[in-house]
Amino acid sequence: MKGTRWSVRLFRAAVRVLLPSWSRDELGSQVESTGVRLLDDARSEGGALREARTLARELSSLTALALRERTTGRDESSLGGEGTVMMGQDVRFAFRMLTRNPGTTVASLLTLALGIGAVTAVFSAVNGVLLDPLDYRRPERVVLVGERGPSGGYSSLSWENFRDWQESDVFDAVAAFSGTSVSVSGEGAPERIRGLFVSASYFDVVGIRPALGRAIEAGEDEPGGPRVAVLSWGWWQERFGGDPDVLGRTIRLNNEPHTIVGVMPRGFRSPFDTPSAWISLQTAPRDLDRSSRDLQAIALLREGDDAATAGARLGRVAAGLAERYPDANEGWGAWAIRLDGWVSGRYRPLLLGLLAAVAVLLLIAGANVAGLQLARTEARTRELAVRAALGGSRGRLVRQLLVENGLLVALGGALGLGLSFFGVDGLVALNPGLDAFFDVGVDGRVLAAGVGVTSLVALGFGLLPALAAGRLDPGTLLAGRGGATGRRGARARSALVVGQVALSLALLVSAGLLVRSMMALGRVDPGFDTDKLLTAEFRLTGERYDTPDEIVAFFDQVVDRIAKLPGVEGVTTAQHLPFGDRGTIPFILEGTEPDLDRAPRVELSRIMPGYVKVMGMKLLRGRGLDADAGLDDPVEAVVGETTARELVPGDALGRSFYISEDLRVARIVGVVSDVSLSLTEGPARSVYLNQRQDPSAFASLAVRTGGEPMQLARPVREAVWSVDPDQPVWEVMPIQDRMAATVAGQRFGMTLLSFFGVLAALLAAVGIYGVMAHTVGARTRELGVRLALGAMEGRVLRLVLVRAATLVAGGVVVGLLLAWWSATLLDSLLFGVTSRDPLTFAAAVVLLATVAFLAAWLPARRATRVDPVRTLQDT
Amino acid sequence: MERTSGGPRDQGFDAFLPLSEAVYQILLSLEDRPRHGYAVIQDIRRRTGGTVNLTASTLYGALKRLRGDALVAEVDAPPDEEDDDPRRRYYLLTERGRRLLRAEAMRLRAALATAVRRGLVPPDLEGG
Repeated sequence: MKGTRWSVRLFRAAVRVLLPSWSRDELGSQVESTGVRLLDDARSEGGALREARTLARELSSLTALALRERTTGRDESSLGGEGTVMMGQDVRFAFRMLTRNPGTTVASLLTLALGIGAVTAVFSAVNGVLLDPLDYRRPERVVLVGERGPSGGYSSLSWENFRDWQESDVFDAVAAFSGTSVSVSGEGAPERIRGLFVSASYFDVVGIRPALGRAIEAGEDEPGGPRVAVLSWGWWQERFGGDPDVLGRTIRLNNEPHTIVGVMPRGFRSPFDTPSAWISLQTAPRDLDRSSRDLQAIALLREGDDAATAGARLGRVAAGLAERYPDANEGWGAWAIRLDGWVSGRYRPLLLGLLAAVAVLLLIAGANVAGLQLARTEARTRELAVRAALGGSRGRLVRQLLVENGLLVALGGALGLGLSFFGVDGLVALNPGLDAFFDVGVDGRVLAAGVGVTSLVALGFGLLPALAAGRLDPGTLLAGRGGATGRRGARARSALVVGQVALSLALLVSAGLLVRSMMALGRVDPGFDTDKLLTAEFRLTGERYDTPDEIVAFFDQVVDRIAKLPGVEGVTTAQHLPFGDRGTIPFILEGTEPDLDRAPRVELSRIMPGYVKVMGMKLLRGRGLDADAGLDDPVEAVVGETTARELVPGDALGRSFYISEDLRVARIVGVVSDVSLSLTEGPARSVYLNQRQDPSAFASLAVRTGGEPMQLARPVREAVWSVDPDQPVWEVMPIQDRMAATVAGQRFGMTLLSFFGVLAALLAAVGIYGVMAHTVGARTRELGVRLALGAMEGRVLRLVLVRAATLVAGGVVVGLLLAWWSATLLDSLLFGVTSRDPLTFAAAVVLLATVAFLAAWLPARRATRVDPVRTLQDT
Repeated sequence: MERTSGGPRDQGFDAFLPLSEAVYQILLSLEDRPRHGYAVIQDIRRRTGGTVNLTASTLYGALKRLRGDALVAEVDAPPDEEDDDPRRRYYLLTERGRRLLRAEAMRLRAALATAVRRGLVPPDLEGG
């Protein structure tokens, strides 16, 4: 024989592997020898290509033959079993069988629908967030860029540097932008919107042009150039009623008139908090100084570039600038990273975790269905045995079972896909950030995934019962002993149950850990009284508030009016409230060497005197800020305890620190209790200035209410408008809502995992019930005999329960290992609890064991009710 | 000596008809003399001008079923065959198989007659 070619070897191996053992000798050897001859012929007739084609054909028909052999059984072989005419009959028959056992059928359908629906829903989120996060035209070529500070940190970009970067040839296009909230006035109600100030090149990078009108053009983003804006589709509909004549109209943004020149296409989302309007950059409040770095930037890579090479080239440009402008740029470099990675990075762990959890759920669901079907198959052994004995084609029977299972899974899948629409809505409702940034929905790719999942489940779990049926031997079945097959079927189902218990435990432990995290977060004391505190935001803009006097006067009046409202116990303002925006300054004590880069940073907020009291903080030393202090008096400050302790050697009272670049100072007159600015951080280092002395146009309102905070929302708004009707009041909500928003992601994960965990446990319980019921049923005669021979009922009960306990124990052991491993995946999401928390593990085991015990209890009790006399008669 | 059968509906062949193309061709190949698997494939290919090209699995899977229904039987190698492989098995149509083949042929003829009557096909197809 000539040296064997790989194709021949492959074919031979395939025959050996695919065909079942009993048909390998005869059928297999014939197929192999003839197949090899055909391959040889093909090669000599048409070369390697022809041989490859022949090989493909042979392999695929070999697979079909193997499948048929395996489902048909040893000696059963008939011509009469083929044809699509038979298929129609099978489907009709399958329907009949399914409706005959409505209970099991409905249970299976629901289980499948839930599993498949959940997978599809989560996949739609994964699709929108991870696979396709950007709405841009060439998303893989868009990078986020910025400057790198001398200490190596990521920084934003200054306008002058941006212009120089544009001139250099590193990218196809570079765009600068700055997202901020913008007040809208003029015709219509005053509003606050999210605006993105962009350079004209933004539309080149993004690659999407407005659906209506035009984009911002070069020259319109120069200082002093015309002020224009492009609206988002949504805002155009909302504020302008979708009026096509909106182009050319004027609106006042931050009190400056802008001409509307375009409307973006429907559904276009930006990863930077989808704005209501894109505004020509030169109107943003910013300095033209090269060292004033407050712009973000994105760029379009040149063809063939990647982020790393572009970043390196950009670094060289930055080095050149550092030489030319050492004052502003010395030591400054540049960075570039892919935008899609950055955008989805935030959500990736959460979504991947969800996908894993849901896949687990699907496995459990599928196992349940397989188990239920196996039970049904065995219940029909009698029927199958009679049919086989009468010469009916067993292959036909198996095909029927396959069709039945396929039908079940197809129906369940269809139901599941329908459910997934609701699931997606639910996902978005639980985590609004998803929808704001990403296009989360059921599209073609998601549907294909749903169908794919369904088919896999059909194949995987439908084959089990069919294969089990294929091994039926009419002789033993008719003798009523069903021993061999019964045992094999039961073993399969036991394995399934152990698997289900293990997976459920893993899910429950994960859910439990997240629940404890949420509880720990809920117990965090942020250092102020969070109960009944209503908050709102303003940003004062425009000529009316140019001078500090005017700002102080405005806030004085607003606070005064609100304080008089019924139900208000206290009102104050602060530049930054906890759980809101933040601002930091370097903390440099007067008389020490000012080193801007290395000085520790502290959180700065300009507060009204009385803030400490309204917020429920404590004055620890010294005194509070003076309500009568004026703009001309020396500026006072209070600092947080941690700041005083860590940053001020000796007694903080009386020391001063710098509060601006022109070296103005503030004197510390008091030390107050610490606050945390977020739930997961400890106390922040804070300093507070007197708003009346160094006013900020940016402020948040805090109102302590006697009753339900939101009831005062409208009166507060109206009080503000009574002082200035053009002033938008924005994000009016109790502070607890703001706090909750900061942990929305974790809460989302927790809710879903808990839901899945409970569902999984219930499904596992159904599985256990099924196995136990089957066991009891199969051993009815044995149990009857035992009872007849005088065994105590308790004994019988124990017999059954011990069996159940072994199963569950096995599942728990495997499950603990699984849970141990999967809990580590959650590490980054946990707070206040370790991923090895013994309490959580123990609780999950107890919960699962209880559920399992209850599930086994019912059939166990039935076992004791077995009538010994009847079972002995009833062979 | 059995009688030749009547129409296509005798001998309980209902479940088997209509025959698939592959099975029909296999039965044809095994009708006149015993053949082994490879020879059947070659014979069919030659007879149909390459339009029917069976794979080994299809052939032997079908043969297994045909033998199960006693339509085909395994026989000894005919003495005039030069046999370079003693393990090769030869098959031949059984009487039952011949009757089935005839039944299918009758069915095809009846179907063809309708087409001829309707003018879809010209009546003279001898030697075609």
